[in-house]
Amino acid sequence: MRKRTLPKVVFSCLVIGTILMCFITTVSAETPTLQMFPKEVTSYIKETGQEASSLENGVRGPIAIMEKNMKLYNATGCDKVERDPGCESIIKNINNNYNKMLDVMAASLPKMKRSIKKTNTSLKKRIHSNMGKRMTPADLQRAIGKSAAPKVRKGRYSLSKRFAQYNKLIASKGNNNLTDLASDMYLDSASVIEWIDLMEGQIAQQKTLIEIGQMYGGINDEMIGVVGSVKNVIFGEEGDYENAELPDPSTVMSSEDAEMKWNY
Amino acid sequence: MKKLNMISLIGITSLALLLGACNGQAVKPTPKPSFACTQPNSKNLNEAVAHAKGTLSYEKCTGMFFEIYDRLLMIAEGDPKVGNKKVFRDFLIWSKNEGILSNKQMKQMYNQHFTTTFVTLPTKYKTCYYCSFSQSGMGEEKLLSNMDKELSDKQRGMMSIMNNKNEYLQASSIANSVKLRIEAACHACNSDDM
Repeated sequence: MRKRTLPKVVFSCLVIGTILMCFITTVSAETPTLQMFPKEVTSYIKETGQEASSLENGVRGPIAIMEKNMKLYNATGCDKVERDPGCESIIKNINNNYNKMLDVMAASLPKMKRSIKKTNTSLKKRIHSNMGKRMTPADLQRAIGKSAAPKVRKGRYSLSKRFAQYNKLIASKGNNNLTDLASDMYLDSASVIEWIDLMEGQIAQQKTLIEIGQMYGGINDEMIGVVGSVKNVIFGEEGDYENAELPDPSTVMSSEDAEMKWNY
Repeated sequence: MKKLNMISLIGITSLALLLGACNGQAVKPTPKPSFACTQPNSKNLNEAVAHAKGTLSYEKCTGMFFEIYDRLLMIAEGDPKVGNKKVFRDFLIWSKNEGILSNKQMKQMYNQHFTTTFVTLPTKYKTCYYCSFSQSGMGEEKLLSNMDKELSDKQRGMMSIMNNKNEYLQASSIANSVKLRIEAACHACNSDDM
């Protein structure tokens, strides 16, 4: 009797198991969920945020001094006169701080690049295998589900704030279905890497020009371009550098000082 | 006697089968030689749909289906309301039942204007395949521009025809998400070191 019932039980279990498997596969096919943030990515993001923060702190002071001196340079009409001692002093101050900014950047960018590359490479592997090789474009829509995508304020905020925000968003969602955030971070980090490559080239070129003495003599378009690019990428649109505490007030000339030197 | 019964049984069965076949196949009326296939002109959507059905019932007019459908969309834009969605749904189902549209065409036309599902997103191969222009003849740009075009169709359907801003905003948000995912996937797929 037992011998007869055993195969029946095994057969029933197999049938039930197959039905359950089919059901699970169907349910998961309807709402695919992706694990985009393993632990190592979150630690890379944290590291990138810290590197970005140290870079921001390093260039904030020199940029603020340069900007104030540039305003002063234009306000006192230095762009219209030649060989004025007051104006030459302002230019020297701008150039010194520009040089300081380039030094900080040259020292910090390689570290920043290494850390951001780790984030980027890790996300790239996940996106390539999960979204590129496993899903059709229509699946990418199906995987959105009903939950609203987290808002990332790219561009408006500084790099360190952006990465801190990424970290916060990952933690708050418990690592579930954050495909949009991963996509955004991946593209953002890729563009920052491209920018760092470009910046490293520009810094090397600017340093050479300074060494051969061609940079001194005025504010040129290249200098303005480099400072503008650093401000946009590192500080975002909100311009954190403007509220910076200036490390050495003596390096900034007031307009009265400039006028005195102007009349000298 | 038995033979006679057998013959009548076969006869009745054949007749039933014949009638069944006629019932399943919609026979389109033969148009009078003077009948002209015309576009609906009424500003009332229900009247326009009735006119469209009348015209499309003639086989020689079915080639005008897409022009007539576009005309109906234009008429609906003149009186936008949520209920218009059902009018189009019923019209598309009727068109499928009449054999003018396939089941796939019916669903695609409905989704294209009236739901948040993007029908231009390919379903056959994985995303990496479409990212490569040389493989698929499509590429990332084409995928994204197709989505933009479909979003403008949805704007027409949801805003201009249904007057449903919320549904359009939802479609727009979905489009942004999917475009972001496609951009990221294509960037990863096209990377040299992958």
